[in-house]
Amino acid sequence: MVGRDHVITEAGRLLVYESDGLSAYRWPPRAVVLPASAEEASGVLRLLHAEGIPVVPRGAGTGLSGGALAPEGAVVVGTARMNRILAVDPPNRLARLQPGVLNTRLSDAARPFGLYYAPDPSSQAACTIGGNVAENSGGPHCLKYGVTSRYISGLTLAMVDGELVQIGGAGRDPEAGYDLVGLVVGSEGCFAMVVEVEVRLLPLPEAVRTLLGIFESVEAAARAVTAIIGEGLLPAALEIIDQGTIRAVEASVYAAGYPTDAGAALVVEFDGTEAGLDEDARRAEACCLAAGAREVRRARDATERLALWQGRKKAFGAMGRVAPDLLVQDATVPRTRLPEVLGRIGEISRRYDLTVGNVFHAGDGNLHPNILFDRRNREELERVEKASKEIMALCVEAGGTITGEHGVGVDKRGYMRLVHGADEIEAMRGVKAVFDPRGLFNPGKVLPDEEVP
Amino acid sequence: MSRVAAALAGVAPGEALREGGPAVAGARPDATVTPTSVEQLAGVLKVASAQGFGVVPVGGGTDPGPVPPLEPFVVLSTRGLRGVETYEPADLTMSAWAGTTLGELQDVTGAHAQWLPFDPPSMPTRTLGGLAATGVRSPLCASYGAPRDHILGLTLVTGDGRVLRLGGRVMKNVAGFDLVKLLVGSRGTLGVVVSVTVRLFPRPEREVALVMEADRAEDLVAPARAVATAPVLPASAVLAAGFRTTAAGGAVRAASLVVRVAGAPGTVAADAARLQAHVGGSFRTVEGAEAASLFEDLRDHAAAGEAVVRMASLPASVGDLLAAVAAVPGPVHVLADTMVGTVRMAAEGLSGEAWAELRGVAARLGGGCVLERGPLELLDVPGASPADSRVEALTSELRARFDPSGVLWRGRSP
Repeated sequence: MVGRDHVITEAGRLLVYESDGLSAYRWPPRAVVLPASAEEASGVLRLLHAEGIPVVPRGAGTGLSGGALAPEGAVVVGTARMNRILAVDPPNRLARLQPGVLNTRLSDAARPFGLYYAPDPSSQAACTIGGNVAENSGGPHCLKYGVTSRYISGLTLAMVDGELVQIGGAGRDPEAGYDLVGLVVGSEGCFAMVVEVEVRLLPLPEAVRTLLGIFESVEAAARAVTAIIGEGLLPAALEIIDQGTIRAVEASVYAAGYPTDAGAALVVEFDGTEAGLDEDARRAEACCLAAGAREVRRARDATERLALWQGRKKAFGAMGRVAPDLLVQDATVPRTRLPEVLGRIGEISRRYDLTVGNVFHAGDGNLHPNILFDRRNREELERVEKASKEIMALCVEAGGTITGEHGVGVDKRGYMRLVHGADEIEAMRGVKAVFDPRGLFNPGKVLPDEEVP
Repeated sequence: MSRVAAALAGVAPGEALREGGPAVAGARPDATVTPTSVEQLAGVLKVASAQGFGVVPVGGGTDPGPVPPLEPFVVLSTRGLRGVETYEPADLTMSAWAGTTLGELQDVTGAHAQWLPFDPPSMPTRTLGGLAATGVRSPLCASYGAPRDHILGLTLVTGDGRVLRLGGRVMKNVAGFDLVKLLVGSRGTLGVVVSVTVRLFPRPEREVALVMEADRAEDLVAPARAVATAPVLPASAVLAAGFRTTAAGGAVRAASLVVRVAGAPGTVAADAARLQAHVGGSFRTVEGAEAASLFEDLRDHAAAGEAVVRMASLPASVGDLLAAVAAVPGPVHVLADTMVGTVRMAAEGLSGEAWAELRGVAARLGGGCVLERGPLELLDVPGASPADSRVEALTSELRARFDPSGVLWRGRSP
């Protein structure tokens, strides 16, 4: 069906597929199949369905919640060979592509036409569009532009029995019928396998302004964020890096020239028409200074802009060098609750004697408390788990949620009942059953185990 | 008292229940219920599910659709659930009860220089619940995104009376399957939306309309396409035809292309100049109160009439849709969203042949063509694009999960 070379069963070659970006888990799949087209994927699914074998769709395996892990007996259907951009359509500002195309490759292909694909998760050089669809990925620029679901106009799905079904489509009536595209985006491979994607492209902004505010504390930086929003400004990005992370970055090969005695740094970026940007930047700078910034740097050119972003973009890499393991947490709270929640995350990390670095999309209230640990130290691992759970409960209590962009996967199933009641979880289970009545698609993901009465 | 009204008297006492009520697409309800609490509303649906009569949820009543519900049914009005629940301007989010009108919400948010950037017909009298239930698109969606992109959470009462709290009130949320997306635009077939949390936007400091006029709509297609492919994205761009404005700006000719440019004062001037340069033609700039009144006229243009038709295609095919509409005999008003390639048409005396022809054009373009309102006979005219059978099966199974007794909007497909 796909050629012998594209069915992997040898233990050595399966190693690559036994974990994803959530490195604490290792689940070797039974086999890996790599179809090259929608038709091949359909044939593979039809066969697996007939045999009753569970299926885990997988993109680049960069996910941070274990969504691409294969539970016992499951076969991974990977999109690595489905990596063609089928069409870029500038007159309609659309592109059609296979799910295995890397996020940055899509923007590269659109750029000659003055267009780009807006969602830019931090892993964009490595992650695939299919994976972005599965996770409804975010990124630093979704404050202004929104998340993946806004840019997916149509999908071709391989259903659990292999049937190919087209849903949505930019030329179709967007108000007719249920929004199945919206439902499938973010479903973490639990409903169907995405085999073709239609995306909306945007015109490239004419110009960009990037500022870096240096603050004495994370709380002060968070106050600046509230002030900037209160000004009626809509930056493309508002990102905070805390002291621990700044120090990790500055001690690494990624040193970005951030002052190591600063409590926090805030990256503010505006994009759009050249004429309005200096005024936006001036007003944002005033907000930062009023919130107590000790200095505000402004990038004068593309090189300086990259330097200001460096500390943010390389934060995970730098943190990863400080300890053997890094748990990249993810939660969202209402933006105005950030200062309080950050203070309490600090308390939790001190109580459990853990190092937590915060790097986050402050404009969206999307936190990434990153916990450093060594997985060989079992006692420490226990403290990490307890602290994680408390941080999740804290974010929910503050009116937030347990994941803003990384998904539930296997990692956060246990937290689902913190945010959803039994009826809501049953409703989700019911919807999954409509697509996948036998539970063959990505079993053991997203939904918590049924409660034993 | 009818059997239906009698059955409801126990759950919706006194003021909340009255017999009869205004017709829905020509069908007469046995009763109209206006619950004042979520519990009452859930009680109505439980009774309906147990007794097997239909329920038609209604908000502002601006968008009933052409299909009459099957009888017997009751109208379930959300207008007893009104008001803002929480509004935190610094979070740019608001939660409000479903029966609150968009006009009321724009007043509240406007005091903080914020707004819901949606401009569907009759916007002020639509309800927030109706916005969620219809997911209605409007020209500002071209730049701001659609209701689906900004409804962060909602509370739903399912057909069998379960109360589900879906989504949340934060900007980014991937905790579980996105049932909010399934609900937005489900048109009352899965449940009754009782409360909604939306993302708000800063209200632009300045807005101008760039207006180009011509005797025939087709002469404006090329400039409209130039706007839609320009390197700068306007707030919206529409082509209105068969339209004469009553605003102070003087007579608008038979067709107008109106590009809405919004933002900070300096940006608006620069964006307008860039659009002008890209399009090459010459626009007249309209500002201030005159622009506001023009936007309002356009919002409601081609939305009232004996028959209202909505057509969809790709942006580059909008000229083909306009040509098809131009061939329709009789008085016709049309509003094309030239950024996304949709057309709304209002016609008097739309014939079966003309309607079939419109659907044929849309089908050839791979697009859509639906009757938003109009004479029932038109619904019987053959020629609709065939639906995908797997999608239909998914649709009916999803519906059964949320409304197992099938009481909601009997007779309507979503």
